[in-house]
Amino acid sequence: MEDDWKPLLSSTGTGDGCKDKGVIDSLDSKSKRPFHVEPRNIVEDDVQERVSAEAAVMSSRVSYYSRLTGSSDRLLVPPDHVIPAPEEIYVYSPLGSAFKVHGGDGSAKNPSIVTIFAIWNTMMGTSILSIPWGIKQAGFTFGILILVSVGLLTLYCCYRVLKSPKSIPYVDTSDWEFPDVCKYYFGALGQWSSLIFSLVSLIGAMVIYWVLMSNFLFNTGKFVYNYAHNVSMADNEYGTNGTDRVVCPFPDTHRNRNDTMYVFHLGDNGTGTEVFDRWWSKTSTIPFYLIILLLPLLNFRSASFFARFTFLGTISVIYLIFLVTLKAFQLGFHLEFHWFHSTEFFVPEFRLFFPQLTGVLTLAFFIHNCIITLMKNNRDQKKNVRDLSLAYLLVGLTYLYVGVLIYAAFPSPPLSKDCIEPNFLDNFPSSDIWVFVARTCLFFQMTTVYPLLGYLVRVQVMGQMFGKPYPGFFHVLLLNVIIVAAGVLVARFYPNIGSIIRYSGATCGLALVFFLPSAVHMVSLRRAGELRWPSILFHSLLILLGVANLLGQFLM
Amino acid sequence: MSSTAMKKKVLLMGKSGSGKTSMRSIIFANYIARDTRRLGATIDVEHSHVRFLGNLVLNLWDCGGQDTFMENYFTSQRDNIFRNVEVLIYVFDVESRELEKDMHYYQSCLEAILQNSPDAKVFCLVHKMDLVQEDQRDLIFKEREEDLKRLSRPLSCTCFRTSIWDETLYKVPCMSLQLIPNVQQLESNLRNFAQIIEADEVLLFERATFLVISHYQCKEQRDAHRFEKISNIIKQFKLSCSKLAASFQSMEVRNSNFAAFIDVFTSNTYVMVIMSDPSIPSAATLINIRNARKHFEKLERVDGPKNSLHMRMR
Repeated sequence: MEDDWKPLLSSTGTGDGCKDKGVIDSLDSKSKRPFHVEPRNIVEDDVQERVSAEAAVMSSRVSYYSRLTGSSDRLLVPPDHVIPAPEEIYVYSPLGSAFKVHGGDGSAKNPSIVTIFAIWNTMMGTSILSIPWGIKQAGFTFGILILVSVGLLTLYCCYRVLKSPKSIPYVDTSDWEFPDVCKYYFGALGQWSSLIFSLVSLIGAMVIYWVLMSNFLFNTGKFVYNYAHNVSMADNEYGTNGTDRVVCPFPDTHRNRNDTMYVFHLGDNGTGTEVFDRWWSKTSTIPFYLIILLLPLLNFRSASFFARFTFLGTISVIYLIFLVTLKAFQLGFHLEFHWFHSTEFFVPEFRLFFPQLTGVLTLAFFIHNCIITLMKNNRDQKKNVRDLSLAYLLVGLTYLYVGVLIYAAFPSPPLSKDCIEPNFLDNFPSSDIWVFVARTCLFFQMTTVYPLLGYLVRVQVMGQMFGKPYPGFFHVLLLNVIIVAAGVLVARFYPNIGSIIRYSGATCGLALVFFLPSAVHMVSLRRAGELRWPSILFHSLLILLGVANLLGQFLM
Repeated sequence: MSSTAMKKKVLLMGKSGSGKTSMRSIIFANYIARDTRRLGATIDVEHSHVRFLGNLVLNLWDCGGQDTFMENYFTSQRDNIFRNVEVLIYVFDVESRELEKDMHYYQSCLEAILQNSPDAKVFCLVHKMDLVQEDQRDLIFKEREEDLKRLSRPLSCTCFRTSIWDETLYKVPCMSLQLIPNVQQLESNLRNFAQIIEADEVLLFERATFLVISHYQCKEQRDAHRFEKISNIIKQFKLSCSKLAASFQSMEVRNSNFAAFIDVFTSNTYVMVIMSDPSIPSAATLINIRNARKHFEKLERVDGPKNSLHMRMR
């Protein structure tokens, strides 16, 4: 190769060249590559710049460098950050036209605001209905403090989940979700445990949905029946008087740890509603009626139809916020601060039942099993952390708003704060028209989300057991029957959504929020040799908090 | 005279994997054989014998290699390596996580230079800058530059930031070196030559690297990157030629709007002449170039005993 530098023997060169022309063509396969002529190189008066200067010189560089190494050598292959973005790449056809490259991974990227909204929308679940009850269980001041702290803790753990695929060297983790990361670090154990705990949260959510749907359907039906038959229910429930009624459904049992079945007391003036009440009962019959509606929906092969209705969830939450504001306006504020003692109408500011709130909040702030997928399509990936924090802030503010307002507006002189129900809509009679609208909205929204959740469970369970999401009609039917049966049984015998939320929240939270993200982070640091004592201490503390959270549910 | 003058070295040093072989391959259009790379550290330790500027030899060394063989060889041959050095180019990988170690090796090279070739020029390249975010490049480069200048005392080093993916690699290594001692004179002669033969643009290339030493243009040109592009094109052509053990001497490109001629010029240079008047026959331009050749050769030799190889910082 260094012969280039010797004095040139021009006369002999050309002769040999002509003879070898045929050899040239066959040896140099690259001579058959298509060429491209930049419009600027054609000397004309008006030249439209179709190629930018940087792209032109980069193209020249790339074409030169590619000659310097073997075709399979990756030494001088341009890295992604120097070549133009896929949107700026055109493919030239020999016929003269050019078309844009639409890569498979050129999926539309969302601006930050859309990502933040998507996260908010996904996180806003039915736990919003239990926040006032949770604040009541923990005490007003303590409840607010806990809400903020749990929000921050879960945000940190979510940040850890988001960052976890990035610290894996040598592997392309662009389509990994958190269970894949767990599998990488902890093998099959990690994969299965993250899967099982994720299923706990999903099935827990589906059970809660069944209970709530029975509740809302019952109240809606009752409202319609009472309106049609002009029945007044005012005397049959213990509550405030007046137009803006607030009721206390279990006046005798609200301090009782055992939540007994709701027993409907007929008033002395028998209004002939016995038949209706026997066939339209919140716990005895409606859970079964729902089977007719929901089991067929669960067996749909694809859930994309239901994914179109996510806007219903947004509308419901916004309406709830409006409703809460309206009620607060109507009822006014009733707050008294008793720090450690409970009175007849108020609860202490700091209570020992606070683990119930932390359990509820763990599920309320839970998005760790799908955050990676949600943020994958964020346009500006460098702003992921900022967008995640903003989303959590919005979610926290929404919960705080609803919780504080309902708690503060709960009319305490006639009723005790202890009356706040795990589903705060239960504190309003079925004759309340604003709440009726809320219940109807939520009922419809839940009927569209329930099949989506069922689909997620199906994909994960069938995917792990059989390798494909739809192995056969009967497999899927069996799974759906099991899930529906769980929902019906719970709605029949233990319709206390506060307990269900906090137990399932604390359980899946222990694994997916506290333990796995911290453990994965510590192991990755140790492998990189950067594990330090403060980090070990902090993350072990997080894991202990998760364990304490779960234990607290049983103890308190 | 030039053939008997002692070969002066240009040392290209840096940690293994910092990009020296790629740089050399790109600048000198050397095919990188896969074996070299697979063996890890650059094994062509002794004499890569890439000659440029007539009499300079480029030597590549891996500094701080993991290989004990390399370490021993380096230490035992140290005086040999660092004797007769004209220029030391040290390459730093901007992404390196072992800054202290890098500086340590750099300093030991400087010590050896001070002992063996105290007149050598020292250049530091902060390489792979494309891996740094654009808005941080200036800052990071300034930091490194300060550190390096401080460490290099009493020698003075000049720092550049480079990346093979932008024009910084093309512009840096020889642009700042005064390749021919009398560049101004060369430029004015080039201008005269261009005006006499009525050329639009005349370029003078260094022979081995096809870096533009000097140029004249009679009017504004649109493409600021044309020098690098021409250099890439010609080097690609040379690669194709060399695969057949042929050598590149001259080229003529012509269409209805222009004619371009690339030809050997002096012993260290190539010339490119661009005529926008296609009616002038090629033969005329080629004769002009041939005649000008003698004149420019004389210019090059004017500098006498230092012999056209003295490199001065511009």
